[in-house]
Amino acid sequence: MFLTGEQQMLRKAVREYVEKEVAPHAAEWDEADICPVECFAEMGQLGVIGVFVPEELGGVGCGYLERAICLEEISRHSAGLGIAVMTHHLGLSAILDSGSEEQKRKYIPQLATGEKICGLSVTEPGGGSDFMGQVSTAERHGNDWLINGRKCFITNSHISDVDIWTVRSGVNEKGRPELTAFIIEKDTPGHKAGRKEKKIGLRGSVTGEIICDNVCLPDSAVLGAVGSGAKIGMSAISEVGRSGMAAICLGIIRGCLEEGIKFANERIIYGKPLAKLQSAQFIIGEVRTAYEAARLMVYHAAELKDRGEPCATEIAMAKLFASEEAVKAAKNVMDLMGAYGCINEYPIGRFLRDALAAIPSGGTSHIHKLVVSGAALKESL
Amino acid sequence: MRIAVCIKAVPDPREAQSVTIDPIKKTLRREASVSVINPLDRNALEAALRLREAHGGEVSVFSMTLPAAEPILREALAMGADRAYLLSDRAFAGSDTLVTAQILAKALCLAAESVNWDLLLFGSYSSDGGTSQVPAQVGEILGIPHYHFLHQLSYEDERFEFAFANGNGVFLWQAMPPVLLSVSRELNKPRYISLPGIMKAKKKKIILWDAEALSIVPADVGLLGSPTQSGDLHQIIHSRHGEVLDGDIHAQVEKVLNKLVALGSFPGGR
Repeated sequence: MFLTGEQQMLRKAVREYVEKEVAPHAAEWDEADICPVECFAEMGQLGVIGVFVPEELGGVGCGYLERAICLEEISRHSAGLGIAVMTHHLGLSAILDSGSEEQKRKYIPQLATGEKICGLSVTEPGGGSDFMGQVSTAERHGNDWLINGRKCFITNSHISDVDIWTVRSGVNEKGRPELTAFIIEKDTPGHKAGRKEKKIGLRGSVTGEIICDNVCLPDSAVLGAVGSGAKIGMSAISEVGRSGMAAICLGIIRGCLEEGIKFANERIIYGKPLAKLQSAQFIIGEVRTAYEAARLMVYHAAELKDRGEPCATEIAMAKLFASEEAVKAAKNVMDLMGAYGCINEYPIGRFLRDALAAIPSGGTSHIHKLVVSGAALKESL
Repeated sequence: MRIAVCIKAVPDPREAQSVTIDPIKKTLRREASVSVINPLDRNALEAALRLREAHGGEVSVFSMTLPAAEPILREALAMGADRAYLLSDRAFAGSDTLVTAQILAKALCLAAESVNWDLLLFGSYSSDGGTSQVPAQVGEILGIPHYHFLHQLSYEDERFEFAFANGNGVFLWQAMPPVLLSVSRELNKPRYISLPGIMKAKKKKIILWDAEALSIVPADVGLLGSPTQSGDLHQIIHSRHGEVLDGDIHAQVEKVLNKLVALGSFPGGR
């Protein structure tokens, strides 16, 4: 896959920012378990935050392939910040794809420039994969809606200014649960962040609970049509969320590869660089190949989305492959580094924790296998 | 305000290991390395963009380089420059600093037929050659005042005000346009290239001028037309070896001193 001149320059531009403003602080954010919210406005100015948003709404007007490049570059050094940006895109895309013109004009420009941060609240204590099993509710209260419930494992839970909720709003004619999506602004009475989770990885992001306790919303807060919440939530997760997570994992693999090469060249053992040993070369060869394969899958899936073609299966394959390979790459490079790999002065331990935490983000590997096999069993190759 | 910024393509420091020198021509093999804008030239471009933002006008960038290094001009356009001139011809290859300055001066004069420059900006030196000669040479060829290694620059009441420091202190100057200035790293922090800037740069044109367009006789430029001829190249090899000295401690000290004298460590004698 060949990138255009503009895409190559975009990568270079994002890389320059990340190497100067993100890389030096990534370990510190991980250690302190904080999300550097100030980076959103900076990256908003550069166009990273609104990369796929149309120009007329304050974005750059590029697509999901360019977004994948941005997330990969951020995650080469901080997958935690990567998932914070990815999740912001998740909520933003829900408004962009399903919002009314008024909602788009109200929210998108500030979200595209990073002035405000967005989140998407779907997962509940009962599980994220049991999408239709959500028990949070929206009930009519005169002309308004009353929202009640608890969401968990929500990225950007404590930093988002605009929170998209999917909740059960009734049943359809077949008696099946019907979900509706709502836009909830920060400081709306009854809407508050709950417990902040202590994660093993992706610690440059905030993950936690959000609670709605009799949150009263007008009809204008409904995103899309009443009853279309499942489609809005699933579309955002399966295409924007998973493609973003795949790009983040691609960045982790690249980070592992670069760290492995650097270490292998610098570490002198038996009087020569470690890179001269075949055992080290095998590892570098494996990780480099994993990166190339993941890159092709991630970019291809993103390009399909940009073309408007069906892409959920390709995105699922890319996320499944890239996340599992990220774990293997980090483990392989740790093996290469020996005891040094266990020292936090080197980022490889953080990469391993990030890769492990990336597996369930946007759906576990098992869920992705179900998505892929479901499509494979129906299609003729 | 009409500002011209001269920028140079230099090897990317990240790819330093891949940079090699042609043993015959004694020049960098530029085609083999990835190029970036010389870091101090980005400070110069940033200064130009800030002056334009404050006082209006246009910023043009000029670079004498290989066509393959065109992306650096595209980057300058993405940073915010209005137009770019690529000065490129096989005949220019191997030009020394004087000939490079002559080619740049020719291009600045040709462009000046439609634009009278108020300010010409350069980085004070390049990260590869590092001679600091080109800005001053261009200033002399064009016959305009030139000042170098600036760490402060502003424009008020139709005058440029700027400062540079040396071992004796800080010098503050004023100059009326046109003036040529070369800047140091301390002047500013160059902006990052933005994604909207990249998209806008797509629509901007890069003007290519070769020797003919600049009315340059090929024999007067390049390696053969340059008065500077490089001498021999020597690679410094750092190697270590150990030697065990015998005898009592006094004899060993004497041997060490003799070795140091032989190596020239005591030019004035023991």
